[in-house]
Amino acid sequence: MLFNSYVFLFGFLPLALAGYYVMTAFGPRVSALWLILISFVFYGWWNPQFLILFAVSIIFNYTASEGIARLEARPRAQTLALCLAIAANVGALIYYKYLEAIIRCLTGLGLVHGPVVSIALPLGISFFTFTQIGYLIDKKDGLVKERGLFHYILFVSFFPHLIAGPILHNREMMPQLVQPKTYRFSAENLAVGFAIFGFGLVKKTLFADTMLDSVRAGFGHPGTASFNTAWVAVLSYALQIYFDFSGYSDMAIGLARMFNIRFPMNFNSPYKAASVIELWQRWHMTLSRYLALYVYNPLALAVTRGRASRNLAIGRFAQATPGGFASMVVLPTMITMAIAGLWHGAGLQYLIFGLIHGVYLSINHAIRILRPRRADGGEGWLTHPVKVFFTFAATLLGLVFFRSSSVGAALQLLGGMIGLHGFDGLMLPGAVLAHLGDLRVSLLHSGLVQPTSAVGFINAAGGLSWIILLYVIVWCFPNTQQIMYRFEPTLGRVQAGPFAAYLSWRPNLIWAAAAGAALCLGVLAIGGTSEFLYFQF
Amino acid sequence: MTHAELLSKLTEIFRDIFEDPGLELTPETTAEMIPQWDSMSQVTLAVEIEQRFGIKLKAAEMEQMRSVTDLMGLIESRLPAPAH
Repeated sequence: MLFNSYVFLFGFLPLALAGYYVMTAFGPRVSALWLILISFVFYGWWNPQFLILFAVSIIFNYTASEGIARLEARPRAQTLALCLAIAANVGALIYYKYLEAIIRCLTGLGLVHGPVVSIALPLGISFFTFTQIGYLIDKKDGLVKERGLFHYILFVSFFPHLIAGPILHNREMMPQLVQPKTYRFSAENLAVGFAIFGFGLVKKTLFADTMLDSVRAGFGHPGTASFNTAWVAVLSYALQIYFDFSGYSDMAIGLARMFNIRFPMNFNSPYKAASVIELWQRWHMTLSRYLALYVYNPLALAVTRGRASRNLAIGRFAQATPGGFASMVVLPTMITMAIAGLWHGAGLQYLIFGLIHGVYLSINHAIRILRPRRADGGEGWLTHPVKVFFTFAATLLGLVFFRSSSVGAALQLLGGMIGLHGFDGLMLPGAVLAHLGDLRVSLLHSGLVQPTSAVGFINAAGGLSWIILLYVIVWCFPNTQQIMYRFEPTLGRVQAGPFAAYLSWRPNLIWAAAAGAALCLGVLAIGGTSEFLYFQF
Repeated sequence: MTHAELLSKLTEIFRDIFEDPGLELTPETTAEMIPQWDSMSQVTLAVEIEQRFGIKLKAAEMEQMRSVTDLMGLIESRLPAPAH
């Protein structure tokens, strides 16, 4: 079930909420049970047979975590148990998500002959697998406060984060799940949650989904995409994925809030980042946090500790040497980003995406290590807008690989972007051209201009203006958390953003009217074409 | 080790790692206030602290080491209790 669907908005959600608030009269336990029930209905709606896998995964991991806790006195057995449990989880993930691609690759190489397998992907498997692996690792490190199977099930299955995150940490969720006040009706939480959800819905249906045609025009035909088509496609895709994901994160956060639960921030205006390091601190923040906690930090710590114990230097001077830089910076970064890339999909282009960002981050760290401190403390030509521009350009390159159907297609589209497939003339309506006299002939002849009908011109100009407007929203306006900052929309501190005096949400009539109008538009727009990018995760 | 001694030893480490001899640390200092305090420096910081204080930190604790108060609390909890 998708959040932006009629069955969810007008069927599931009202029932879930109404049922929840009725159950709160019977106490926290019953209310929590209701949440588990509706979460399983939500999960099973799309494909009931995967409920079995889901339930098995939860029971297996909880049992494993209990076993790991019991082995506390025997560290090596404990580590072995943890590795086996992680292997089982990763194995299931590989089976459902990557096996098909691996077999296809091996068949292509001629190493394997056999029937083509097609394995259906269980919804949200990347998310609930990662969440539970994190729990297991924390359990082994003794960082988990035991709350019982019941709350574990709720933690993993709570429906708002099931399909597309945020990736939750047990430390931030469990205390909320065991608190009685979570299971009491709160008008404020309902209102705030609804507002946040509304923002997300509008972003998804009114912004992201309107980019589809331009994106498909370019990415669907990379071999023939002209300069114009390619650039419009890539710029549209950058908007599509931005509003798709930030919209879905908002919807998840809003939904959780309706049930009195606060989620962590997942998206913080990433295109405003002034460096790739900052980009990943703002984009899919819970994934970055997860990878930093369980992949990057352990790797970097191991390498750095290894050096320290061999009396090798570890400070900035050492990081500036080739050996130091390679081992302490590049190695952990490249491995982490390769995983980040592959997590998004089973394909070489995803790995390339990850590695590209690994290279960006390594270069970014190198600049930070080697940059001399300016005497005047100024920035020179590398002002803030310039940095944002370069960061965005770097992001666009990565996105070409991320969206393309293959590495070859990505390279073709990049070729289009540098003009290898030619340029389209700018569209001008025939009526305007008729008034240009002699100039008209030379313009048409040179290919700088192409005649279109008035309607064609309006469509093209309108489409372009819409893209520009969306970029203005991306770069100049506050994000959902900033608009809601007075009501602690997410865990962690949120500050007011630009135009805070005018654009800070309050539960008053003006905002209610605006929200109502926006939601109407958002719901009406559901009828159009839609694509959910993170569905395949 | 007293609170003041701990803070001054920590300041020494920070000055070395961030190559800023004039860096001043107070219990209120957080990661956001020092621009070079990113994920890479976090690791270097952790290992330096381990080396100089003779303690062992866990990878999972690094996420909570984003302020001087956090660091001091963590170090104090790891140091052997003073003999009476």
